Amino acid sequence: MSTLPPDVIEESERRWAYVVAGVVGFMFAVIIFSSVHWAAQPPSNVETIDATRLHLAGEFVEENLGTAVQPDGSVVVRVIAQQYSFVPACIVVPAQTPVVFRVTSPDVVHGFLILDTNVNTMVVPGFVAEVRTRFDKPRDHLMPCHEYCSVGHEGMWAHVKVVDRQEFTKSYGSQPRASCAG
Amino acid sequence: MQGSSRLVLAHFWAAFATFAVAIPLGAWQMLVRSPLHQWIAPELYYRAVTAHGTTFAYVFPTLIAMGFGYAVCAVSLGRPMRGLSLAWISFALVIGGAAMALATVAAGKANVLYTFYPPLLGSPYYYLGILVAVVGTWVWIGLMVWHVRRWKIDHPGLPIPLAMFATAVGALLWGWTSLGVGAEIAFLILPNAFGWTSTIDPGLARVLFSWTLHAIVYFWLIPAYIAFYVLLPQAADGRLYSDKMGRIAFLLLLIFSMPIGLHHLFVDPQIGAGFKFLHTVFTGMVVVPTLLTIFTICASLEIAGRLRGGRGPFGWIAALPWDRPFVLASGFSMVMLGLGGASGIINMSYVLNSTVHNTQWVTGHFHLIYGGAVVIMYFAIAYELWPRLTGRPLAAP
Repeated sequence: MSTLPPDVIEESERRWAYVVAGVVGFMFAVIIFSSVHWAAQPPSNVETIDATRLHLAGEFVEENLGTAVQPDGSVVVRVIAQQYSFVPACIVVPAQTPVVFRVTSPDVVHGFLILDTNVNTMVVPGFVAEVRTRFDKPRDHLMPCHEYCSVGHEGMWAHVKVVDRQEFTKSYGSQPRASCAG
Repeated sequence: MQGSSRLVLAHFWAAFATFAVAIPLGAWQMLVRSPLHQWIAPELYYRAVTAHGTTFAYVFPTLIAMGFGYAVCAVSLGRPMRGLSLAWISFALVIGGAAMALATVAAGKANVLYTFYPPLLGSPYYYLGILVAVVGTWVWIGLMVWHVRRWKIDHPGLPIPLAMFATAVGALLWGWTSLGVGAEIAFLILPNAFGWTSTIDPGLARVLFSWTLHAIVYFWLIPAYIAFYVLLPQAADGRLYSDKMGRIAFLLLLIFSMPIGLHHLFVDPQIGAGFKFLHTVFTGMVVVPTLLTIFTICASLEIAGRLRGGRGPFGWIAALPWDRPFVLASGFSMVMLGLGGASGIINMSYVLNSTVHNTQWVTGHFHLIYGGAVVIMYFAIAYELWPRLTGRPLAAP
């Protein structure tokens, strides 16, 4: 059997090392560029909350759930994910507006995903998940729970209704917290 | 096989038995979710998913890796294995633990999927079974490392045979990565499931589980890689292009797979952005040993193809002996590994992950790697080992 001379092997391996460095370098360059330039970061706010007292006092009591307009015109949507529903089950938000979702769970781990958008976070009891986004145009989105949360998981869905800004102000602007549920 | 044939055959037959249970479950799950069948009671569906995942994550690949490890130990070190009774104890623990866990799932007492998802809780006997099986594998790790050491003492200055070197790397990798799930079960889930504690920290549990959940995939892959490096060049009438490159690839895989699992938790609220980015970097670095392997294996196959008369930049591919099952299986496996690896680069990306996290994309990704690249090679390995184990040729002369 013929044997390749060591310098041939070494030379071909050196050329391949440049290819490997190029591939890995390009990959990291793209990731760093997009995360810095687009300010695209995964939701990582590391904020804790007492999961056993959510319904009694604080930010996630029932009367705070839903879409609340902030003084600067942006909106904050507070949501509870629980076995096996989201509260509110229909979320209404204005288009072309900065939106902050704040979600937590009183029982087990759930998933929060708005279809056809990049809104995607885990909902872990004891932590508040926060996602910032902006919806371009009015339309309806489905919002399934995407983490297995026991046998009722398959039925855990909600809806997100994105409406025109003026229509939102007209229909929901007077409410302290809006929703399209019920 | 140096007196280890019965041990190796027992591991492979036990693995095939679990495969025969878990594969029909997977096919049935696809059927009931397809338009060809009515949707069924979700409790039954999730019970089947738990059994399928538990078998394929903890039992089937573990038995193959252990059995193949014993075979490599006997063949590549060229002398009988010591501590066979310990090896049988380890086998009994894995089988016994797996049987306990799967019986609990079958009884409908643990619909928690193989990923557990605490604070969800199932029967403690499910977790206990998995813990027993994992502890059983630690005996195997000890045996592999001990044999390498003993051989090294008797052969000072000689390199450990590549197959055994890689087996030891796989054993150490599994030793490291199984600590996560072991700690999660022993310290968080079991005390909760037995009712000794009333709360559980799901954030910590998720971190511990992700410690295991990614590097476990490289533990599954290592037997396939050993087959690429050691068995495939032989099967194709070629030779390994660079033994040293192989060792570097296995070592890099061990190092980069240690801090990697948090890429499963990119959209988790309990992990800060800094650690997420760090794990993107380490996961990305796994591209390096993967590309080294692609280069070395392609170069080895090119040698084989040219020795068989292949000409031109691509003629050597056609000249390879594709009619040999081992060569064909390896070819398919590498195509699937390529697709699975490429889809994984999207998963591990700090930025792109949000677009695919927890969607069927991820399910597709790990089935490409697992079913496509790993399991196909497990069967190719069995095909290669069987005549040596049983002393009977595969085909009539």
